[in-house]
Amino acid sequence: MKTTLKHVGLLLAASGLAGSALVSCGSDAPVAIAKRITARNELIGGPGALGEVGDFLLANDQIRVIVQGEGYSRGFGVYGGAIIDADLQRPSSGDATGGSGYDQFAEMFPAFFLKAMAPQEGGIRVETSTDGAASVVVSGRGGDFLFMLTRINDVVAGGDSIAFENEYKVRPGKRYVEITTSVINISDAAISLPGEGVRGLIGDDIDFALPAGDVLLFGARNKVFTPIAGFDLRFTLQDLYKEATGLPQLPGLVTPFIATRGEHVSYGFASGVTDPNISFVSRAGYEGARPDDLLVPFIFSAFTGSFYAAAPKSLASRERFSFKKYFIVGSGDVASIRDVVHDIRKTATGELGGRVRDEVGKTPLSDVSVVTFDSQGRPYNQHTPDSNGIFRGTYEPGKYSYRVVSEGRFTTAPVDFEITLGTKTGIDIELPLAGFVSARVLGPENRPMPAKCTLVGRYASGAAGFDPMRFLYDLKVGEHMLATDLIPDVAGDPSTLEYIEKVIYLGAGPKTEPVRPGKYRAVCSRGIEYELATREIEVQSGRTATIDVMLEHSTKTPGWASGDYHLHSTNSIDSSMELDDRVVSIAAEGVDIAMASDHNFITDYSPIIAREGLERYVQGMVGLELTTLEIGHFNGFPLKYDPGPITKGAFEWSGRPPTVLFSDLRKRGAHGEDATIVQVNHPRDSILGYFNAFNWNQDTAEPEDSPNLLLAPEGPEFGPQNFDYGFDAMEIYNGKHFELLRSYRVPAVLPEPPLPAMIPPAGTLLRDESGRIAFPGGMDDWFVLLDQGRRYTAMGNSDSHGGEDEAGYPRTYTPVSDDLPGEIDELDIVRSIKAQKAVATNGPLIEVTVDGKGMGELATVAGGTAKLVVITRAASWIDLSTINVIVNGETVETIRGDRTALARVERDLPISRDSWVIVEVAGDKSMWPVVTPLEIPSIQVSDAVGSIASSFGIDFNAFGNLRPEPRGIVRPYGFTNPVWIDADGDGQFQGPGASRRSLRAIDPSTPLLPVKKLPHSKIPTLVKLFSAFSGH
Amino acid sequence: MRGLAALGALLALLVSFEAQAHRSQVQRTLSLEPSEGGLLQLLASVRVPGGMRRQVLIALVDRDHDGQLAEQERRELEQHLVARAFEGLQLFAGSSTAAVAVQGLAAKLRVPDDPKAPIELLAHGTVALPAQVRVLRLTTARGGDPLSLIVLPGTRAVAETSRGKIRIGGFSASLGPKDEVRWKISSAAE
Repeated sequence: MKTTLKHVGLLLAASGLAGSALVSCGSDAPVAIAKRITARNELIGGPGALGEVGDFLLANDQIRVIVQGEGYSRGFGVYGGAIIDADLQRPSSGDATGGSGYDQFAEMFPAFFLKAMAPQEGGIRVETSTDGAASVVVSGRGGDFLFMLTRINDVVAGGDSIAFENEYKVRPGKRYVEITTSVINISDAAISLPGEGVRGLIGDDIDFALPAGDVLLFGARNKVFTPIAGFDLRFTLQDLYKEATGLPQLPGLVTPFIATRGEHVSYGFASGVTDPNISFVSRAGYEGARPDDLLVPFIFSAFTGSFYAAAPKSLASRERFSFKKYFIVGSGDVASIRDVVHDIRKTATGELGGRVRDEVGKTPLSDVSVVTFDSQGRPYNQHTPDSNGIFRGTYEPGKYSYRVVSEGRFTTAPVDFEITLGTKTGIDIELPLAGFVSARVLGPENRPMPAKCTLVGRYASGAAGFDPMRFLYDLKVGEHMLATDLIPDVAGDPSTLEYIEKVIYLGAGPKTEPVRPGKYRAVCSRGIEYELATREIEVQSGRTATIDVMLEHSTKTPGWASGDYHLHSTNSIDSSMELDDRVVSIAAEGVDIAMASDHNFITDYSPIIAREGLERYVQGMVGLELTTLEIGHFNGFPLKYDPGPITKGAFEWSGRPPTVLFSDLRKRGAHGEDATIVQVNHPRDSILGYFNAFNWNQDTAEPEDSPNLLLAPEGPEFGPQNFDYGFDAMEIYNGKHFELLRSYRVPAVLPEPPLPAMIPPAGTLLRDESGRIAFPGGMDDWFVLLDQGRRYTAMGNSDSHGGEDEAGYPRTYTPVSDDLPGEIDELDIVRSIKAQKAVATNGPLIEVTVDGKGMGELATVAGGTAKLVVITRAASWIDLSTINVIVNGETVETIRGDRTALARVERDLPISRDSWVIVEVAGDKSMWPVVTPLEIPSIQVSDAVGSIASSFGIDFNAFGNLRPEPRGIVRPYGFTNPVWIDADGDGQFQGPGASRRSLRAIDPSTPLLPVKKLPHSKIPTLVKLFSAFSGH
Repeated sequence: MRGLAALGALLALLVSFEAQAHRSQVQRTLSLEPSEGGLLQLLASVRVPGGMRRQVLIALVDRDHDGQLAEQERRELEQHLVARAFEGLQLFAGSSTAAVAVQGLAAKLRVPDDPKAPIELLAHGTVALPAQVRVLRLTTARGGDPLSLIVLPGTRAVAETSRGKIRIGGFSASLGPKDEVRWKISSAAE
C-alpha cells in the first residue's frame, strides 16, 4: 500500500536530512524519505554535484540520491527525471550554499533500445509505502537522446507509441536504489517489438528480443570496472567487436555488474531481472550468462550503455512491461559495490580481509589499490584500504589471486589466496617503499617558476614493435596509460624505445612525487618560448632523486599574449583534472591566458590561480563550451560568472537552433554582447562538429540535408535552414588532431582492411557515392569561407581534458597592449580576435606582412606583385624546416631550410586579383617528449552506434579503415590568419566565392577504380606464389 | 619468353628465401610485378627466425600465456607482421610526389610447431599504376627492418634501374634505413 509523503514528510523535513537523523519518530528503526528539495542545504554537494532546489531527494540512513526535476538535463544527457547526484550519508550536512558531500556521479537514464525517457510536465511525484520505503516516480514519453536515431527508433522501438515510468525506490538500511522501469504502449493499437519492418530485415527465423536497459554516465572522475574487463572496458569491448556476433545477440561485454572506483564514493549498477523470459542475455542466448547479467554494448565519451531486459514480442494497447535494476552507492572501491550485489542476489560467500603496509616501517598504506582475479586470471574485485591499511570484501568460494597497484612502485606479481564458504580469509601485504622525485625549476630571475619535468624511460629491446599496452602497462589492473614516442621501434636503437614514466607539473615552487624505481631522462620545459633542461636521474625505492634546473626564456614575444581558448577541468563530465592541477598545468606550459571552457558549466580559474600563487604567470578568463550532442560545440568568452546556479550560468541547449544559442552566449558576455567571442570548436570532429552536423558542403559552401536518410536528425534545431554564420572564430587547429585540418585524401599506403571495394588513386580527395567529400577538413572549410570574404578568425587551442593532452598545444597568440599575465586587457584580446590578428601554433612563432600590412589588414597592391615578409622563430628544441605560402587556398611556394634560412624570408608574390595570403610553418622532428603523440584516439559515437547497427546489417562505416588517422606524432606546426589584398584598387577584397573552388575541388580525372580481379589464365607469378603458400 | 622470366623470378625469390634462412635477423622482402590491367602485383614477406626472436614474438601475443596461439592471438601476430612488412615503405609512380596505395591486401601466416623453425608471413596486394607511368621509386624510412627488393618483369620488363643488375627483365636490391631505389619499366603494350 502506498501513501503520499505529505504526512510523514513534514516531520522528516523538520528533523534535517543527515543520516543520523533519518529515523522515524519514537523509534530507532531507520526510514527512507522522498521529497522535493526546497532549500540548498538539502542538496548533496561534491565535485560532480548538479542538484538544484526543485529536484527530488531520496534518502535513507545509508545513502542520498537526487533525481532531477523536469526540463533539460543538467548532466550530459538531454532530459530531466534522471539520477544526477548520489553519495553515502555523511555526518556533516549542507548549508545555505549547498551540500558538503562527495557526489561524483553524472547521470543515468533508462533506455528502451536507443530511446530515452523525457519526463512530462508535472510527471514526477513522491510516494512512500508502509514497509518504510520511499519512492520518486517519473512519468514521461519516449524521447531520443540522439536525434540522429529518431528514425531508427521509430522503426525498431515503437516510435511515439512508447511511454516510460521510472520508479526510484529507497528502502531503509540499503545502499542501493531499486529502480523499476516500465515501458508502456500508449497507443490505441498493439505494437510489435521490434517493429514489423525490422522483422523483415532480420528474418522471421531469428528470435530477436528488443533490448532495454540504461545509459550510465559515470564521469571521468570515476574509473569504471567490470569483472572480466577490469578497468579496461574500452579495449575489452573493441576486442569483442572483432568477434563475429549475429542476431539475436548484439556485440558487447556480458558482465554481472558495473562498478566504479573513486575518491570517497563509488557507484555500481546491476540488473534485477531474474526471469529468463525478460532477460536479454538469456533470450539472446549468450553462453554461460545468468539472467541477471548485463550486456554492455558500447561506451563513448562519458556514456556507458547497458542492456539487460528483453521486451515481449508485442505490447497490446495500454499494456506495459517492467524490469528492475539497482543503482548502488559504495564507499570508494569496487568491493563495497560487490558486497551489495552479493547481498541483493543472496550469493553464498566467504570473506576476504587484508592489511597493506610498507615492508620497512610497517606503516599502513591507504593510497594503493588491491585488485583481485578469479582462478582464470580475470579481474574480479578491487579494494581501496582505509587509513589503517585495512580492507575487506565478500567473495564467492573459490581460488583467487591479488595484485597491488600504487604510485611509485611496480605493480606486484599475483599472489594466490582461497575463499571458503562462510569463513574469513586474511592476507597481510607488505610493499617496498615508493621511489620519489623532487623537482625544482628556476626561471631567469633565479626564482622557482611553473614548469613541467617529463621523466622519460626506455623499454627493453625485446618488446620492440609490440603494442605498449601488452608490456608497458596493464589497463585492466588499473594502471595508467604511458605515452610512447610512436616512432618505429628499432630493437638495437634505444632512442626509438622511449616512453614517459611520469610528468611532474610544478606550480610556484618545488614538488615531490612518487615515481617507480628506474633510470630516467628528466626533460624540464616551460612551453614553447623556453629552452629545455635535461638531467639523467636514477630513482630508487625509499629514496628521493632530485632535479634542479634553470630554464632560459629564449624566444620572447613582447606585445603578444598566448592564450588557450579551450580548456577543460573536473567541471566537465569527461575530465578528471582537478582545478588546482589544471591551472598549474597551464602555467607550467607558459600560457598567458587560460580560458575555462567546461562542458555546459561556467568556470572561473582566477581564485584557483590566486590560491596557487600563479598570478604572475597565468591569467584566467571565464568562458563556456556550449556542448550540444548533435549540432556542435561552441565556446563563448569572456563571459560573466554567476555564482548562484549550480552550473554558474550555463543554459539549456536542447531543441534550440544555433542562432538562439549564439545569441544566448553573447548575452552572457562579460563586456557586452559585441565584445563576446563565439568560437565554433573543431568544426569537423564527427557529430561534435558544427560543420559536420549541418553537412556543410565545401564544394557549394552551403549546409545541406543529411545525405543519410536513416540517420537524419529530426527537431527544430536541425536542417540546413538553421545553420547560422553569426560566429566570430573557428577552432581550425584542435589539439593534436592534425587529421581534422585538411580534407582527407587517399594515403600512399592503405590502412589494414576493412576497406571499401572502390578506392581512388593515392592523393585524391575521397568522396562518397554521391560525390561529396567524405571527410572534409576544417582548414579547407575556412579557405572556402575566406574566398567568400567571410572574415572568420582561425584559432588554435588544445581542448585539453587531462595530462595526456597538454595545455597550450596549440595556442593562439594575439597582440595586446600589456602582455603581463594579470594585466592583460580582455578587450584587447577580443579586438584582436575579431580583427583576425591571431597566430595559431604549437611551436613556431610567425610574423607575416604583405606590402607592410599585417594579419587582418588590407594591402593595396599595384603592379602585379606584393612583397611578402615572413619572420619565423622558435626555441631550439622546436624544429623548423618548412614555410608554405598559401594564396587563395593554393600553396604557391614551399620553402625548405633550416631555422637560419627560414628566420626571415622575403618574396615577391605575383598577384593578379584580389587575394588573401596565409603562411604555414612546420618542422619535421617530433616534439617528444614535451608533447606526446596522439596515441589512443577517443571513441566516436559512430563506433558506438555502429556496433549495434552492424548486427542488423546496417553499415554506418562505408569507408572502413580508409579514413583520417588520428594517431600520430606531434610535429611543430603553426599558421597565420590572412593578410587581405586588394588588387583592383577598389579599396576592398572581393573574393571569387565558392563556385570557383567548387569546380576545382572536383577532379574529374580521378574516377574510382575497381579492385580488379584477374582472369585465371593470366595469373602473375607473385599471385601464384601467394596462392601456393600455406599459412598452416 | 614470359614463362622463362616468371621461372627466373620464382627462382630468384626462392634463392632469396634460402639466403635468408641462415640469418638470425628478421628479414623482409618486397617483390613487385607488373600485371594485366595496369596493376602492379606486390608480395611482401617477413621472416622471423626460430629461437629467441620467435619466442619473444609469440610471448608478446600469447595473451593467456598458455604457450599456444589462439585464433585471436594468431590474428594479432599476423597484423603485427603485416605492419612490419610495410613499415616505412613508400612507393612512388611517375613524376607524382604522391605515393601510390596498396589495395586488396591479403596475408598468410605460417607458424610451424617446431620452436626452431622461423615464422613467415606473406602479404599480397595490388597497386593501380597511373596510366602511362614508366618510372617507379621505392623509399624506406629511418625505422623498419632491412629490405630485399625483387622486381619481376611481369607484363612490363625493367629497362633501367638505379640499383642492382637487370636480369631477365627484373632486378633485386638490398635497402637499408632511409634508402631509395628508382627504376624505369618498359612501355610495352600489355
